[in-house]
Amino acid sequence: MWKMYRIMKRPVIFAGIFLVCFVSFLSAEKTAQISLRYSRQDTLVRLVVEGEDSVIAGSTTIASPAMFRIDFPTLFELKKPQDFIFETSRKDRTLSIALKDVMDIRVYKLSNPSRIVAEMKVKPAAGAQQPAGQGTVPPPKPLGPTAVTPAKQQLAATQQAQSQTAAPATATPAAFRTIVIDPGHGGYDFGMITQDFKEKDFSLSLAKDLGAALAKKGIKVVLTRRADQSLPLAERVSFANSKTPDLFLSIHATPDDVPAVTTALMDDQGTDVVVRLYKLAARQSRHIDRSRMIARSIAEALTADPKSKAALRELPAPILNSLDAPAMLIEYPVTAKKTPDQKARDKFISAIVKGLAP
Amino acid sequence: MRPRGIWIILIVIFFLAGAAGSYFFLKYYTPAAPQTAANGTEVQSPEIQDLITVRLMLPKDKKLVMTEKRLRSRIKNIALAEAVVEEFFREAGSAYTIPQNVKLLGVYRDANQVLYVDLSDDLRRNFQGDALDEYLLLKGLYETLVSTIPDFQDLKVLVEGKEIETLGGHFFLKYPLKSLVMAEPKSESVTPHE
Repeated sequence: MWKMYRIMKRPVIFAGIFLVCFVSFLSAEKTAQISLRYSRQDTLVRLVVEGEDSVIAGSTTIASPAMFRIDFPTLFELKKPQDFIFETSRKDRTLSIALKDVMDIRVYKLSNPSRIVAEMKVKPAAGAQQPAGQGTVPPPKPLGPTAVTPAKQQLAATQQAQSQTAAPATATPAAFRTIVIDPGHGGYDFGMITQDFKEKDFSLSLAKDLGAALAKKGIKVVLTRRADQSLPLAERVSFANSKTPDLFLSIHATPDDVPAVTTALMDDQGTDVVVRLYKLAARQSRHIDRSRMIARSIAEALTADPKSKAALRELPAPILNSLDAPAMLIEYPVTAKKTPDQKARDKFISAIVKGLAP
Repeated sequence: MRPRGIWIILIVIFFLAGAAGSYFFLKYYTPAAPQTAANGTEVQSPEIQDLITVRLMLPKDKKLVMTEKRLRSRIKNIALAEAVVEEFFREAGSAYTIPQNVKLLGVYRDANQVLYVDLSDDLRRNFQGDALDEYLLLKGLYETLVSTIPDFQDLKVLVEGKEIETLGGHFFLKYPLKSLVMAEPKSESVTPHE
Protein backbone atom coordinates (compact mmCIF):
# COMPACT_ATOMS: atom_id res chain seq x y z
CA MET A 1 0.00 0.00 0.00
CA TRP A 2 2.78 2.37 0.96
CA LYS A 3 4.56 1.54 -2.26
CA MET A 4 1.47 2.21 -4.30
CA TYR A 5 1.00 5.49 -2.52
CA ARG A 6 4.49 6.59 -3.41
CA ILE A 7 3.92 5.73 -7.06
CA MET A 8 0.50 7.36 -7.33
CA LYS A 9 1.14 10.38 -5.14
CA ARG A 10 2.16 12.92 -7.77
CA PRO A 11 -0.18 11.87 -10.62
CA VAL A 12 -3.13 11.96 -8.26
CA ILE A 13 -2.28 15.41 -6.96
CA PHE A 14 -1.78 16.75 -10.51
CA ALA A 15 -5.02 15.14 -11.65
CA GLY A 16 -6.82 16.74 -8.72
CA ILE A 17 -5.43 20.19 -9.47
CA PHE A 18 -6.27 19.79 -13.16
CA LEU A 19 -9.81 18.69 -12.35
CA VAL A 20 -10.39 21.62 -10.01
CA CYS A 21 -9.08 24.09 -12.60
CA PHE A 22 -11.11 22.48 -15.40
CA VAL A 23 -14.34 22.58 -13.42
CA SER A 24 -13.73 26.21 -12.50
CA PHE A 25 -13.14 27.02 -16.17
CA LEU A 26 -16.34 25.30 -17.28
CA SER A 27 -18.37 26.80 -14.48
CA ALA A 28 -17.31 30.33 -15.34
CA GLU A 29 -20.23 32.14 -16.97
CA LYS A 30 -19.69 32.98 -20.60
CA THR A 31 -19.57 36.61 -21.58
CA ALA A 32 -21.56 37.62 -24.62
CA GLN A 33 -20.43 40.22 -27.12
CA ILE A 34 -23.00 42.94 -27.57
CA SER A 35 -22.56 45.73 -30.07
CA LEU A 36 -24.51 48.94 -30.03
CA ARG A 37 -24.84 51.25 -33.00
CA TYR A 38 -27.18 53.97 -34.07
CA SER A 39 -28.24 56.02 -37.03
CA ARG A 40 -30.04 59.29 -37.11
CA GLN A 41 -32.07 60.97 -39.77
CA ASP A 42 -33.80 64.16 -38.84
CA THR A 43 -36.09 63.29 -35.98
CA LEU A 44 -35.78 59.54 -36.33
CA VAL A 45 -33.10 57.77 -34.31
CA ARG A 46 -32.59 54.06 -34.66
CA LEU A 47 -30.61 52.08 -32.12
CA VAL A 48 -29.49 48.58 -33.03
CA VAL A 49 -28.24 46.15 -30.40
CA GLU A 50 -26.64 43.09 -31.97
CA GLY A 51 -25.52 39.88 -30.35
CA GLU A 52 -25.72 36.11 -30.51
CA ASP A 53 -29.10 34.54 -31.24
CA SER A 54 -29.54 33.02 -27.79
CA VAL A 55 -28.58 36.25 -26.04
CA ILE A 56 -30.93 38.44 -28.06
CA ALA A 57 -33.76 35.90 -27.93
CA GLY A 58 -33.45 35.52 -24.17
CA SER A 59 -33.27 39.21 -23.40
CA THR A 60 -36.10 41.33 -22.12
CA THR A 61 -36.58 45.01 -22.82
CA ILE A 62 -38.28 47.86 -21.03
CA ALA A 63 -38.69 51.07 -22.97
CA SER A 64 -39.97 54.50 -22.09
CA PRO A 65 -39.19 57.92 -23.56
CA ALA A 66 -36.69 58.44 -20.71
CA MET A 67 -35.01 55.06 -20.44
CA PHE A 68 -34.37 51.99 -22.56
CA ARG A 69 -33.30 48.97 -20.54
CA ILE A 70 -32.26 45.54 -21.77
CA ASP A 71 -31.81 42.58 -19.44
CA PHE A 72 -29.58 39.98 -21.09
CA PRO A 73 -29.53 36.34 -19.99
CA THR A 74 -25.73 36.43 -19.53
CA LEU A 75 -22.99 38.85 -18.67
CA PHE A 76 -21.87 40.85 -21.66
CA GLU A 77 -19.18 43.01 -23.13
CA LEU A 78 -20.43 46.14 -24.80
CA LYS A 79 -19.01 47.67 -27.93
CA LYS A 80 -20.40 51.07 -28.86
CA PRO A 81 -19.32 53.92 -31.08
CA GLN A 82 -17.37 56.70 -29.43
CA ASP A 83 -19.83 59.33 -30.54
CA PHE A 84 -22.84 57.45 -29.16
CA ILE A 85 -25.53 60.00 -28.51
CA PHE A 86 -27.04 58.62 -25.30
CA GLU A 87 -25.52 57.79 -21.95
CA THR A 88 -25.23 54.08 -21.26
CA SER A 89 -24.67 52.27 -18.01
CA ARG A 90 -24.32 48.59 -17.23
CA LYS A 91 -24.91 46.60 -14.14
CA ASP A 92 -24.40 42.82 -14.18
CA ARG A 93 -26.61 41.66 -17.03
CA THR A 94 -28.51 44.89 -17.53
CA LEU A 95 -27.78 47.59 -20.05
CA SER A 96 -29.48 50.92 -19.42
CA ILE A 97 -29.58 53.70 -21.98
CA ALA A 98 -30.69 57.08 -20.70
CA LEU A 99 -32.73 58.70 -23.45
CA LYS A 100 -33.02 62.39 -24.03
CA ASP A 101 -35.58 64.41 -26.02
CA VAL A 102 -37.36 61.24 -27.09
CA MET A 103 -41.04 61.60 -27.84
CA ASP A 104 -41.89 58.06 -28.81
CA ILE A 105 -40.05 54.75 -28.83
CA ARG A 106 -40.80 51.40 -30.43
CA VAL A 107 -38.76 48.29 -29.85
CA TYR A 108 -38.55 45.26 -32.12
CA LYS A 109 -36.63 42.02 -31.90
CA LEU A 110 -35.44 40.92 -35.31
CA SER A 111 -33.49 37.94 -36.58
CA ASN A 112 -30.87 37.34 -39.28
CA PRO A 113 -28.82 38.78 -37.73
CA SER A 114 -30.33 38.67 -34.26
CA ARG A 115 -30.81 42.19 -33.02
CA ILE A 116 -32.97 44.49 -30.99
CA VAL A 117 -34.02 47.62 -32.82
CA ALA A 118 -35.36 50.68 -31.06
CA GLU A 119 -36.85 53.35 -33.26
CA MET A 120 -37.27 56.69 -31.59
CA LYS A 121 -38.81 59.94 -32.57
CA VAL A 122 -36.79 62.72 -31.04
CA LYS A 123 -37.52 66.38 -30.76
CA PRO A 124 -36.10 68.33 -33.70
CA ALA A 125 -33.05 70.36 -32.88
CA ALA A 126 -33.78 74.07 -32.58
CA GLY A 127 -33.16 75.85 -35.86
CA ALA A 128 -32.44 72.62 -37.68
CA GLN A 129 -32.84 72.84 -41.40
CA GLN A 130 -34.68 70.25 -43.36
CA PRO A 131 -31.99 67.92 -44.65
CA ALA A 132 -31.65 66.88 -48.22
CA GLY A 133 -31.95 63.21 -47.43
CA GLN A 134 -30.03 60.49 -49.17
CA GLY A 135 -32.14 59.35 -52.05
CA THR A 136 -31.83 59.68 -55.76
CA VAL A 137 -34.62 62.21 -56.01
CA PRO A 138 -33.13 65.63 -56.61
CA PRO A 139 -32.64 67.63 -53.41
CA PRO A 140 -35.38 70.05 -52.45
CA LYS A 141 -35.55 73.21 -54.46
CA PRO A 142 -37.57 76.30 -53.76
CA LEU A 143 -41.15 75.37 -54.46
CA GLY A 144 -42.59 76.61 -57.67
CA PRO A 145 -45.79 78.55 -58.09
CA THR A 146 -47.83 75.36 -57.96
CA ALA A 147 -46.42 74.27 -54.64
CA VAL A 148 -48.80 73.97 -51.77
CA THR A 149 -47.56 75.50 -48.53
CA PRO A 150 -47.33 72.71 -45.99
CA ALA A 151 -50.41 72.87 -43.86
CA LYS A 152 -50.57 72.28 -40.18
CA GLN A 153 -48.48 69.18 -39.60
CA GLN A 154 -50.56 66.37 -38.25
CA LEU A 155 -47.53 64.23 -37.68
CA ALA A 156 -44.85 65.69 -35.54
CA ALA A 157 -41.61 64.05 -36.36
CA THR A 158 -41.16 61.68 -39.24
CA GLN A 159 -42.95 63.81 -41.74
CA GLN A 160 -40.30 66.49 -41.51
CA ALA A 161 -38.05 64.06 -43.29
CA GLN A 162 -40.33 63.82 -46.26
CA SER A 163 -39.19 65.06 -49.58
CA GLN A 164 -40.80 67.92 -51.33
CA THR A 165 -39.51 68.22 -54.82
CA ALA A 166 -40.60 70.54 -57.51
CA ALA A 167 -39.06 71.31 -60.83
CA PRO A 168 -39.65 74.44 -62.82
CA ALA A 169 -43.16 74.24 -64.17
CA THR A 170 -42.49 73.62 -67.80
CA ALA A 171 -45.05 71.12 -68.98
CA THR A 172 -47.16 70.56 -65.89
CA PRO A 173 -50.16 68.36 -66.69
CA ALA A 174 -53.10 70.36 -65.48
CA ALA A 175 -54.60 67.36 -63.75
CA PHE A 176 -51.84 66.75 -61.19
CA ARG A 177 -50.11 69.49 -59.31
CA THR A 178 -49.21 67.46 -56.23
CA ILE A 179 -48.69 63.72 -56.11
CA VAL A 180 -47.95 61.79 -52.93
CA ILE A 181 -45.90 58.65 -53.52
CA ASP A 182 -45.86 56.05 -50.78
CA PRO A 183 -42.98 53.55 -50.88
CA GLY A 184 -44.48 50.43 -49.29
CA HIS A 185 -43.14 48.70 -46.17
CA GLY A 186 -39.92 49.93 -44.50
CA GLY A 187 -38.04 49.43 -41.25
CA TYR A 188 -38.84 46.10 -39.62
CA ASP A 189 -41.42 45.41 -42.33
CA PHE A 190 -39.34 43.98 -45.17
CA GLY A 191 -42.19 43.08 -47.51
CA MET A 192 -41.25 40.41 -50.03
CA ILE A 193 -37.71 39.07 -49.74
CA THR A 194 -35.63 37.01 -52.11
CA GLN A 195 -31.90 36.44 -52.02
CA ASP A 196 -30.98 39.80 -53.55
CA PHE A 197 -34.22 41.64 -53.15
CA LYS A 198 -36.00 43.42 -50.33
CA GLU A 199 -39.32 44.98 -51.21
CA LYS A 200 -38.89 47.82 -48.72
CA ASP A 201 -35.67 48.98 -50.41
CA PHE A 202 -36.94 48.39 -53.91
CA SER A 203 -40.18 50.29 -53.38
CA LEU A 204 -38.26 53.23 -51.92
CA SER A 205 -35.82 53.31 -54.80
CA LEU A 206 -38.59 52.98 -57.38
CA ALA A 207 -40.63 55.70 -55.65
CA LYS A 208 -37.67 58.07 -55.74
CA ASP A 209 -37.05 57.40 -59.42
CA LEU A 210 -40.73 57.84 -60.20
CA GLY A 211 -40.73 61.02 -58.13
CA ALA A 212 -37.79 62.37 -60.10
CA ALA A 213 -39.50 61.54 -63.40
CA LEU A 214 -42.70 63.29 -62.32
CA ALA A 215 -40.80 66.27 -60.94
CA LYS A 216 -39.32 66.77 -64.41
CA LYS A 217 -42.88 67.23 -65.63
CA GLY A 218 -43.33 70.06 -63.14
CA ILE A 219 -45.34 68.06 -60.65
CA LYS A 220 -44.74 68.55 -56.96
CA VAL A 221 -43.91 65.15 -55.52
CA VAL A 222 -44.07 64.26 -51.86
CA LEU A 223 -42.80 60.93 -50.53
CA THR A 224 -44.26 59.45 -47.36
CA ARG A 225 -40.82 58.13 -46.42
CA ARG A 226 -37.36 58.80 -47.77
CA ALA A 227 -35.38 56.40 -45.62
CA ASP A 228 -35.61 52.83 -44.37
CA GLN A 229 -38.04 53.47 -41.56
CA SER A 230 -41.19 51.81 -40.40
CA LEU A 231 -44.27 53.91 -40.94
CA PRO A 232 -47.69 52.67 -39.83
CA LEU A 233 -50.44 52.57 -42.43
CA ALA A 234 -52.53 55.06 -40.46
CA GLU A 235 -49.69 57.59 -40.45
CA ARG A 236 -49.19 57.17 -44.17
CA VAL A 237 -52.88 57.91 -44.75
CA SER A 238 -52.88 60.83 -42.35
CA PHE A 239 -49.76 62.34 -43.89
CA ALA A 240 -51.00 61.90 -47.45
CA ASN A 241 -54.35 63.50 -46.65
CA SER A 242 -52.61 66.44 -44.97
CA LYS A 243 -50.89 67.25 -48.27
CA THR A 244 -54.23 67.47 -50.13
CA PRO A 245 -52.72 65.74 -53.16
CA ASP A 246 -54.25 65.36 -56.59
CA LEU A 247 -53.10 61.75 -56.68
CA PHE A 248 -51.76 59.12 -54.29
CA LEU A 249 -49.59 56.26 -55.54
CA SER A 250 -48.49 53.45 -53.23
CA ILE A 251 -45.55 51.48 -54.62
CA HIS A 252 -45.23 47.77 -53.84
CA ALA A 253 -44.10 44.51 -55.46
CA THR A 254 -46.01 41.42 -56.49
CA PRO A 255 -44.75 37.85 -56.87
CA ASP A 256 -46.81 37.54 -60.07
CA ASP A 257 -45.48 37.77 -63.61
CA VAL A 258 -47.49 40.86 -64.42
CA PRO A 259 -47.75 44.28 -62.79
CA ALA A 260 -50.93 45.07 -60.89
CA VAL A 261 -52.76 48.32 -60.35
CA THR A 262 -55.20 48.21 -57.45
CA THR A 263 -57.88 50.71 -56.52
CA ALA A 264 -60.13 50.83 -53.48
CA LEU A 265 -63.12 48.56 -53.18
CA MET A 266 -65.88 50.58 -51.61
CA ASP A 267 -68.68 48.79 -49.85
CA ASP A 268 -71.16 51.56 -49.31
CA GLN A 269 -74.24 49.47 -48.82
CA GLY A 270 -76.18 50.67 -45.84
CA THR A 271 -74.17 53.85 -45.46
CA ASP A 272 -75.87 57.19 -45.53
CA VAL A 273 -74.66 59.58 -48.24
CA VAL A 274 -73.70 62.23 -45.71
CA VAL A 275 -71.87 59.72 -43.53
CA ARG A 276 -70.04 58.50 -46.59
CA LEU A 277 -68.74 62.02 -47.20
CA TYR A 278 -67.19 62.32 -43.77
CA LYS A 279 -66.35 58.73 -42.79
CA LEU A 280 -62.58 58.34 -42.81
CA ALA A 281 -62.70 54.75 -44.01
CA ALA A 282 -64.85 55.81 -46.97
CA ARG A 283 -63.20 59.05 -48.05
CA GLN A 284 -62.18 57.42 -51.27
CA SER A 285 -65.82 57.03 -52.32
CA ARG A 286 -65.97 60.53 -53.78
CA HIS A 287 -62.84 59.91 -55.86
CA ILE A 288 -63.38 56.29 -56.77
CA ASP A 289 -64.47 56.84 -60.37
CA ARG A 290 -61.44 58.99 -61.09
CA SER A 291 -59.18 56.47 -59.32
CA ARG A 292 -60.53 53.70 -61.54
CA MET A 293 -60.06 55.79 -64.65
CA ILE A 294 -56.45 56.67 -63.85
CA ALA A 295 -55.70 53.08 -62.80
CA ARG A 296 -56.99 51.79 -66.12
CA SER A 297 -54.95 54.37 -67.98
CA ILE A 298 -51.78 53.28 -66.13
CA ALA A 299 -52.58 49.57 -66.65
CA GLU A 300 -53.04 50.18 -70.37
CA ALA A 301 -49.77 52.12 -70.52
CA LEU A 302 -48.05 49.19 -68.79
CA THR A 303 -49.31 46.91 -71.56
CA ALA A 304 -47.94 48.99 -74.41
CA ASP A 305 -45.68 46.08 -75.31
CA PRO A 306 -47.73 43.54 -77.37
CA LYS A 307 -46.65 40.63 -75.15
CA SER A 308 -47.27 42.35 -71.84
CA LYS A 309 -50.24 42.13 -69.52
CA ALA A 310 -51.33 43.91 -66.39
CA ALA A 311 -53.85 43.16 -63.67
CA LEU A 312 -56.46 45.67 -62.62
CA ARG A 313 -57.79 44.97 -59.15
CA GLU A 314 -60.11 46.34 -56.51
CA LEU A 315 -59.44 45.64 -52.84
CA PRO A 316 -60.70 47.18 -49.58
CA ALA A 317 -57.18 48.27 -48.63
CA PRO A 318 -57.33 50.85 -45.84
CA ILE A 319 -54.53 52.91 -47.34
CA LEU A 320 -56.70 53.41 -50.42
CA ASN A 321 -60.17 53.54 -48.86
CA SER A 322 -59.20 56.33 -46.45
CA LEU A 323 -57.48 58.52 -49.02
CA ASP A 324 -59.19 61.78 -49.82
CA ALA A 325 -57.79 61.85 -53.36
CA PRO A 326 -57.63 59.53 -56.34
CA ALA A 327 -55.50 56.68 -55.03
CA MET A 328 -54.01 53.44 -56.26
CA LEU A 329 -51.50 50.82 -55.35
CA ILE A 330 -49.05 49.89 -58.09
CA GLU A 331 -47.22 46.59 -57.79
CA TYR A 332 -44.06 45.78 -59.72
CA PRO A 333 -43.65 42.14 -60.78
CA VAL A 334 -40.75 40.43 -59.02
CA THR A 335 -40.36 36.68 -59.35
CA ALA A 336 -37.44 34.36 -58.71
CA LYS A 337 -36.79 34.36 -62.46
CA LYS A 338 -37.54 38.01 -63.00
CA THR A 339 -35.72 40.27 -60.58
CA PRO A 340 -35.85 43.94 -61.38
CA ASP A 341 -33.27 45.32 -63.79
CA GLN A 342 -32.70 48.98 -64.53
CA LYS A 343 -34.09 48.79 -68.07
CA ALA A 344 -37.33 47.22 -66.93
CA ARG A 345 -37.62 49.71 -64.09
CA ASP A 346 -37.16 52.65 -66.43
CA LYS A 347 -39.80 51.20 -68.74
CA PHE A 348 -42.15 50.74 -65.81
CA ILE A 349 -41.66 54.33 -64.65
CA SER A 350 -42.13 55.69 -68.17
CA ALA A 351 -45.35 53.72 -68.49
CA ILE A 352 -46.73 55.17 -65.25
CA VAL A 353 -45.80 58.71 -66.30
CA LYS A 354 -47.40 58.07 -69.68
CA GLY A 355 -50.50 56.66 -68.01
CA LEU A 356 -50.85 59.81 -65.95
CA ALA A 357 -50.61 62.11 -68.96
CA PRO A 358 -53.95 63.76 -69.68
CA MET B 1 2.52 12.66 3.23
CA ARG B 2 1.00 9.61 4.86
CA PRO B 3 -1.56 7.23 3.34
CA ARG B 4 -4.23 8.96 5.38
CA GLY B 5 -3.41 12.20 3.58
CA ILE B 6 -3.90 10.72 0.14
CA TRP B 7 -7.30 9.39 1.11
CA ILE B 8 -8.36 12.86 2.19
CA ILE B 9 -7.16 14.28 -1.14
CA LEU B 10 -8.96 11.55 -3.06
CA ILE B 11 -12.21 12.12 -1.15
CA VAL B 12 -12.03 15.87 -1.82
CA ILE B 13 -11.35 15.25 -5.51
CA PHE B 14 -14.24 12.79 -5.83
CA PHE B 15 -16.51 15.19 -4.01
CA LEU B 16 -15.59 18.02 -6.36
CA ALA B 17 -15.99 15.81 -9.41
CA GLY B 18 -19.40 14.66 -8.19
CA ALA B 19 -20.53 18.20 -7.48
CA ALA B 20 -19.35 19.40 -10.88
CA GLY B 21 -21.00 16.49 -12.66
CA SER B 22 -24.29 17.11 -10.86
CA TYR B 23 -24.14 20.81 -11.68
CA PHE B 24 -23.68 20.25 -15.40
CA PHE B 25 -26.23 17.47 -15.51
CA LEU B 26 -28.86 19.62 -13.84
CA LYS B 27 -27.97 22.62 -15.98
CA TYR B 28 -27.99 21.02 -19.41
CA TYR B 29 -29.85 17.74 -19.30
CA THR B 30 -32.86 18.37 -17.10
CA PRO B 31 -35.97 18.59 -19.29
CA ALA B 32 -37.78 21.94 -19.20
CA ALA B 33 -40.92 22.11 -17.13
CA PRO B 34 -44.07 21.77 -19.23
CA GLN B 35 -45.63 25.08 -20.14
CA THR B 36 -48.79 25.89 -18.35
CA ALA B 37 -51.79 27.13 -20.24
CA ALA B 38 -52.24 30.88 -20.36
CA ASN B 39 -54.95 32.41 -18.27
CA GLY B 40 -58.34 32.22 -19.85
CA THR B 41 -57.41 29.56 -22.37
CA GLU B 42 -59.31 26.40 -22.70
CA VAL B 43 -57.28 23.25 -22.50
CA GLN B 44 -57.77 20.97 -25.44
CA SER B 45 -60.06 18.14 -24.61
CA PRO B 46 -58.53 14.71 -25.05
CA GLU B 47 -61.93 13.32 -25.79
CA ILE B 48 -62.37 12.59 -29.44
CA GLN B 49 -65.61 11.47 -30.95
CA ASP B 50 -65.28 10.70 -34.66
CA LEU B 51 -64.35 12.20 -37.99
CA ILE B 52 -65.99 15.32 -39.36
CA THR B 53 -65.63 17.10 -42.68
CA VAL B 54 -64.31 20.66 -42.62
CA ARG B 55 -64.17 23.05 -45.54
CA LEU B 56 -60.90 24.88 -45.92
CA MET B 57 -61.03 28.06 -48.02
CA LEU B 58 -57.49 28.19 -49.30
CA PRO B 59 -55.85 30.99 -51.27
CA LYS B 60 -54.63 29.57 -54.54
CA ASP B 61 -53.84 31.25 -57.86
CA LYS B 62 -55.20 34.60 -56.71
CA LYS B 63 -58.55 33.24 -55.57
CA LEU B 64 -60.05 31.19 -52.78
CA VAL B 65 -60.60 27.52 -53.50
CA MET B 66 -62.49 25.12 -51.26
CA THR B 67 -60.89 21.89 -50.09
CA GLU B 68 -62.67 19.39 -47.88
CA LYS B 69 -60.69 17.62 -45.18
CA ARG B 70 -61.64 14.92 -42.72
CA LEU B 71 -60.58 15.78 -39.22
CA ARG B 72 -61.18 14.08 -35.92
CA SER B 73 -64.04 15.79 -34.20
CA ARG B 74 -63.48 17.50 -30.85
CA ILE B 75 -66.05 18.07 -28.18
CA LYS B 76 -64.89 21.60 -27.50
CA ASN B 77 -65.18 24.16 -30.28
CA ILE B 78 -61.88 25.74 -29.34
CA ALA B 79 -60.09 22.43 -29.81
CA LEU B 80 -61.81 22.03 -33.18
CA ALA B 81 -60.80 25.57 -34.16
CA GLU B 82 -57.20 24.77 -33.28
CA ALA B 83 -57.26 21.67 -35.46
CA VAL B 84 -58.87 23.59 -38.34
CA VAL B 85 -56.35 26.46 -38.20
CA GLU B 86 -53.44 24.01 -38.11
CA GLU B 87 -54.86 22.18 -41.10
CA PHE B 88 -55.49 25.48 -42.90
CA PHE B 89 -51.85 26.55 -42.63
CA ARG B 90 -50.60 23.05 -43.42
CA GLU B 91 -52.55 23.15 -46.70
CA ALA B 92 -52.08 26.85 -47.44
CA GLY B 93 -48.33 26.60 -46.85
CA SER B 94 -47.96 24.84 -50.18
CA ALA B 95 -48.57 28.19 -51.87
CA TYR B 96 -45.42 30.18 -52.55
CA THR B 97 -46.61 33.26 -50.77
CA ILE B 98 -47.57 31.69 -47.44
CA PRO B 99 -44.81 30.36 -45.19
CA GLN B 100 -44.83 26.64 -44.45
CA ASN B 101 -43.65 26.79 -40.88
CA VAL B 102 -46.44 28.85 -39.32
CA LYS B 103 -47.19 27.54 -35.85
CA LEU B 104 -50.47 27.92 -34.05
CA LEU B 105 -49.79 29.26 -30.57
CA GLY B 106 -53.37 29.24 -29.35
CA VAL B 107 -57.03 29.89 -30.06
CA TYR B 108 -59.07 31.84 -27.52
CA ARG B 109 -62.57 33.24 -27.36
CA ASP B 110 -63.53 36.32 -25.37
CA ALA B 111 -66.80 37.29 -23.72
CA ASN B 112 -67.98 39.05 -26.91
CA GLN B 113 -67.53 35.82 -28.84
CA VAL B 114 -64.57 37.15 -30.76
CA LEU B 115 -62.24 34.34 -31.70
CA TYR B 116 -58.52 35.08 -31.32
CA VAL B 117 -56.09 33.06 -33.39
CA ASP B 118 -52.54 33.43 -32.10
CA LEU B 119 -49.89 32.54 -34.70
CA SER B 120 -46.12 32.45 -34.70
CA ASP B 121 -44.11 35.34 -36.09
CA ASP B 122 -43.09 33.17 -39.06
CA LEU B 123 -46.32 34.23 -40.72
CA ARG B 124 -45.44 37.91 -40.65
CA ARG B 125 -41.71 37.54 -41.24
CA ASN B 126 -41.91 35.12 -44.14
CA PHE B 127 -45.08 36.25 -45.86
CA GLN B 128 -44.15 36.71 -49.52
CA GLY B 129 -47.35 37.89 -51.08
CA ASP B 130 -48.80 41.05 -52.51
CA ALA B 131 -51.93 42.90 -51.41
CA LEU B 132 -54.32 40.41 -52.99
CA ASP B 133 -52.48 37.44 -51.46
CA GLU B 134 -52.67 39.03 -48.04
CA TYR B 135 -56.36 39.75 -48.41
CA LEU B 136 -57.13 36.23 -49.59
CA LEU B 137 -55.18 34.71 -46.70
CA LEU B 138 -57.15 36.70 -44.13
CA LYS B 139 -60.45 36.12 -45.93
CA GLY B 140 -59.71 32.41 -46.33
CA LEU B 141 -58.92 31.99 -42.65
CA TYR B 142 -62.10 33.81 -41.66
CA GLU B 143 -64.30 31.90 -44.10
CA THR B 144 -62.79 28.57 -43.03
CA LEU B 145 -63.46 29.20 -39.36
CA VAL B 146 -66.91 30.68 -39.86
CA SER B 147 -67.94 27.64 -41.87
CA THR B 148 -66.72 25.27 -39.14
CA ILE B 149 -67.04 26.85 -35.72
CA PRO B 150 -70.53 27.86 -34.62
CA ASP B 151 -71.41 30.97 -32.68
CA PHE B 152 -68.44 33.22 -33.02
CA GLN B 153 -68.99 36.82 -33.97
CA ASP B 154 -65.66 37.92 -35.33
CA LEU B 155 -62.07 36.87 -35.78
CA LYS B 156 -58.89 38.55 -34.70
CA VAL B 157 -55.39 37.42 -35.61
CA LEU B 158 -52.58 37.83 -33.08
CA VAL B 159 -48.91 37.24 -33.74
CA GLU B 160 -46.84 35.91 -30.82
CA GLY B 161 -49.68 36.86 -28.50
CA LYS B 162 -49.72 40.50 -29.55
CA GLU B 163 -51.80 42.73 -31.74
CA ILE B 164 -49.74 43.80 -34.72
CA GLU B 165 -50.59 46.54 -37.16
CA THR B 166 -50.40 44.54 -40.33
CA LEU B 167 -49.43 41.13 -41.64
CA GLY B 168 -48.00 41.98 -45.04
CA GLY B 169 -48.07 45.76 -45.02
CA HIS B 170 -51.38 46.23 -46.84
CA PHE B 171 -54.24 45.49 -44.39
CA PHE B 172 -54.89 46.25 -40.74
CA LEU B 173 -54.68 43.39 -38.28
CA LYS B 174 -55.41 45.59 -35.29
CA TYR B 175 -59.13 45.23 -35.76
CA PRO B 176 -61.35 42.16 -36.05
CA LEU B 177 -61.48 40.92 -39.60
CA LYS B 178 -65.17 40.51 -40.33
CA SER B 179 -65.82 43.96 -41.77
CA LEU B 180 -62.64 43.77 -43.84
CA VAL B 181 -63.11 40.37 -45.39
CA MET B 182 -66.80 40.64 -46.28
CA ALA B 183 -65.96 42.30 -49.60
CA GLU B 184 -65.29 40.25 -52.70
CA PRO B 185 -62.11 41.38 -54.42
CA LYS B 186 -62.32 42.18 -58.12
CA SER B 187 -59.66 41.46 -60.66
CA GLU B 188 -59.38 41.71 -64.41
CA SER B 189 -56.55 41.23 -66.83
CA VAL B 190 -55.62 44.14 -69.08
CA THR B 191 -54.11 43.16 -72.41
CA PRO B 192 -52.64 45.37 -75.15
CA HIS B 193 -55.02 47.01 -77.57
CA GLU B 194 -55.01 45.56 -81.05
